[in-house]
Amino acid sequence: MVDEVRVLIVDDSPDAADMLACALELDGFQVRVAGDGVSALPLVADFQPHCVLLDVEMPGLDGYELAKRLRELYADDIVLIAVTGRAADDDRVKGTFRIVDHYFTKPVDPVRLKKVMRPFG
Amino acid sequence: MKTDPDLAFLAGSSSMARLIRERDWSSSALGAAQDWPQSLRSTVNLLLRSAFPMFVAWGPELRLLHNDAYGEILGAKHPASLGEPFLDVWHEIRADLAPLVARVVGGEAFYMENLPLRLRRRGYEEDAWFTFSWSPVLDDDGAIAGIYCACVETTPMVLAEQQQRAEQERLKTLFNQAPGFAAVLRGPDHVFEMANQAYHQITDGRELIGKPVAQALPELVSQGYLGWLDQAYRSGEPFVGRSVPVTLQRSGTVPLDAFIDFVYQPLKNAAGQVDGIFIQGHEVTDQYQANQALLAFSNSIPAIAWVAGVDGRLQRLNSQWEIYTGQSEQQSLGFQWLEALHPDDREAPGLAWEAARVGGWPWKTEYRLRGRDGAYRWFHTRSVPQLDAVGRVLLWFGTTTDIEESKQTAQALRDADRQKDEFLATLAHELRNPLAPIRTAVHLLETSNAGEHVRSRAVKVIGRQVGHMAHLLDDLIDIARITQNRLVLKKDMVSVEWVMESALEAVRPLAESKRHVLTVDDQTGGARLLADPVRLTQILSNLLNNACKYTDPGGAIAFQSGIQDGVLVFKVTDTGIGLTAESIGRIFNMFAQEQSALHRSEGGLGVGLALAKGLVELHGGTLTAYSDGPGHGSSFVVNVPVSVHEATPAAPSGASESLATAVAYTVLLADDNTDATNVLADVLRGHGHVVHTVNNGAEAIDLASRLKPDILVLDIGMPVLNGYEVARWTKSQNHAPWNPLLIAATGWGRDDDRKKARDAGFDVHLTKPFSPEQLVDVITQHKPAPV
Repeated sequence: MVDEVRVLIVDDSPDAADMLACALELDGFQVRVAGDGVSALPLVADFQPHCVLLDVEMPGLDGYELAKRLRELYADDIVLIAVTGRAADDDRVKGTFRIVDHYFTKPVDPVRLKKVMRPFG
Repeated sequence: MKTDPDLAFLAGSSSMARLIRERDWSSSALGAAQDWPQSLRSTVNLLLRSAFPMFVAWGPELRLLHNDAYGEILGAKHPASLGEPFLDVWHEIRADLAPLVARVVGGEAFYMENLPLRLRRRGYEEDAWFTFSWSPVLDDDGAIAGIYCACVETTPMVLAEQQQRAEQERLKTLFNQAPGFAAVLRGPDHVFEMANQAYHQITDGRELIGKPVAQALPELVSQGYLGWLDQAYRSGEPFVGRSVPVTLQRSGTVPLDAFIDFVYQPLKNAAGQVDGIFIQGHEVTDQYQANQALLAFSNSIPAIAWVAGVDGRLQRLNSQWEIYTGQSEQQSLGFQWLEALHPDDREAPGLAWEAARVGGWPWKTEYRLRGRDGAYRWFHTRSVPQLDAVGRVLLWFGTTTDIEESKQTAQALRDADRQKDEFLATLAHELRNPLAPIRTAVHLLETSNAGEHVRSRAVKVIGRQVGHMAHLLDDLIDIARITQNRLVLKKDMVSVEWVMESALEAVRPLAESKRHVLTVDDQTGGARLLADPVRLTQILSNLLNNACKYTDPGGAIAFQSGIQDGVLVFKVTDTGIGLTAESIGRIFNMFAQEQSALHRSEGGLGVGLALAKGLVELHGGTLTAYSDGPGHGSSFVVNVPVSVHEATPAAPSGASESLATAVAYTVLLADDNTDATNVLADVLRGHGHVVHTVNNGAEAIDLASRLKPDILVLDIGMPVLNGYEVARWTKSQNHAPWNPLLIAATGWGRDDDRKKARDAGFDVHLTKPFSPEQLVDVITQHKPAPV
């Protein structure tokens, strides 16, 4: 049943993205990875993920900008989950939290993350 | 009643005419009136018709006959005195009158003015004055038979005159004794007519009266006083001088220097023309000096001090105002001072003032004032009111103090505090980032269905990310060590080529991932230097890493090295985001990640440049940033003193060869004479050595314990700890291989002193004064092995 759930991970840390991808794939999610916000946009159009997991702090188009774009383009059709290493009182982090469906502070507990993802999986 | 024709001479309506007419004279010594001789008749007739006081005294006894007017003079003696002997009537002044009477009877006629007589005519004695005209009267035979006298009492006139004289006397005394000086000058040459005691006193008792001012007081001419006198005389307008300095000669002693207030008041004659000048004034030297002292006091307050009225208008300003603003007090009174107020702060004094005006309490405020250079600085103003008995404000006193420095300090502290907060947030972020993949990797390793391939990837990720975290923590620890002066370099001979290659190795993956074009140019000709290879590599890779990070993909990064004037230069140039002039100033500060860099979210603690700079300085070098502005790239230049320089013969940089010694050492110079150490240090650096200087023994031990220098040059007579103590301490640090060359540099050169130095552990004893070249020779001769 989770076979049909597509997840896009957007993170500028290849290690972080790779480990998350492994963890989710082991649970049967279909996972793709983008290294920054700009390359994520065409991937979303192509891959049509159910969920986008995005790092807030990225060079170029950051998580906040990406979340705004995705909401503009796809409204609530995609579940957005933000991950941040910064404190929740950072303006950009606060802005992102208002847009996304769920958010986590690094390091994310994969078990809790998967719990959030299971309902739509 | 029909008048007897013989008594016609007694006709008339005056009371005396009636009295004489009605008296029966027949039994008197004068005989019956009808029988009086013609001359007596004529005289009596004349006086009875006169309104002027007159009498005639007739016969051997000089019997008195007088008119009504004379009755007034007689007072209470009248009318009993009629027909009585004249001298009996005036018995109280007989002694005064008798000689006069005798003269007239003797045939003399004369006139007397204001004769004083003490009379008793109204029951009491009184002083009276009379003017008399005496003349003898002849009988019908031509013999002197009586005296005629017209007299007038002048007592009121005489008394008035006396009073006037007394008044004048009084005024003269007042003039003379007046506390101020006063004088009257006459004519266009200002001739002294009068001068009072005070005037004589201030002019040292010189002779004044009758002399022109220019002659009596010649020193005044050059002091301007003559000009002012002429001016008052010409114009007819008074001239007023306030606190005017004057120097007056003193015979036989130093001149009197004084300050005076005075007025030259022109005097006008009846025709309205000026014919003199009245001088009045007083010395105000004490007040002037007191005032000057007060002025000096208020002007030396290290703040702008002022007085304002209840309406807020400035009335006084001390000179600090003009010193700062360049605006004079006169140009600034009232509300003119607002000119100097910063346009954005125009409301500040008004608001504080309004609140205080209503409440009357002391007030304070802050605002910026424009200085004479046109720049604004912050000032703090405090003001207190002077109140009257019922608590109403009379005046406001205030001080306005420059607080620019404390404002800037406060701002700097706020900035530093904010930077620290930002740094802590960044630190948390940077430590969480590697934790994220580690946590997921651990989860994968715990997952039973993860294959071997996944497990091996997880382990690699953990290893890599732990390394990354360790690196971050190393940076943190290094920074802490550098700020606390605890970082020790582990120096070794190292080639420039090796250092550059090591630095490049560390950044190549990042440069390649961002597709930067990296060019390397080593112009040092195979130079080697004495440095900490790890730290030098760290410095350069840090700069290269920054260049890669802050340059958009596909940029150009140049890494160059060369030797200039005996200094080794490394240069990292990029085509990246560049720096503003302001950020160049603070980019080496701790925690100062540029805002533009933060938004790139490239990560890092923002301590890299501070760390690099600290490490360069530990090597005795400098690190400098250059940029043509945002978007124009930047370059970072490291200068470190050349150590060993093994240039190929073809190398163009031979200029420094003569200076460069075969081996370069880290040298610690300790002497409380900083000038001497600076000269030595410069010369040693010219020979390629890395030189550190300190001013006392305690600092020497502190730095030596961290630097482990190859050579210590120690002054013996230093404060805190002397050279012997530092030498003994050095010898006690017997953890090999640190065995530095110890050189004593001292003014004590006796054999005994040399022995003491040897005993303390010194290898060489140099007696001051010695030339820097001598020290160089000593170092060359002893050639210790670099630590």
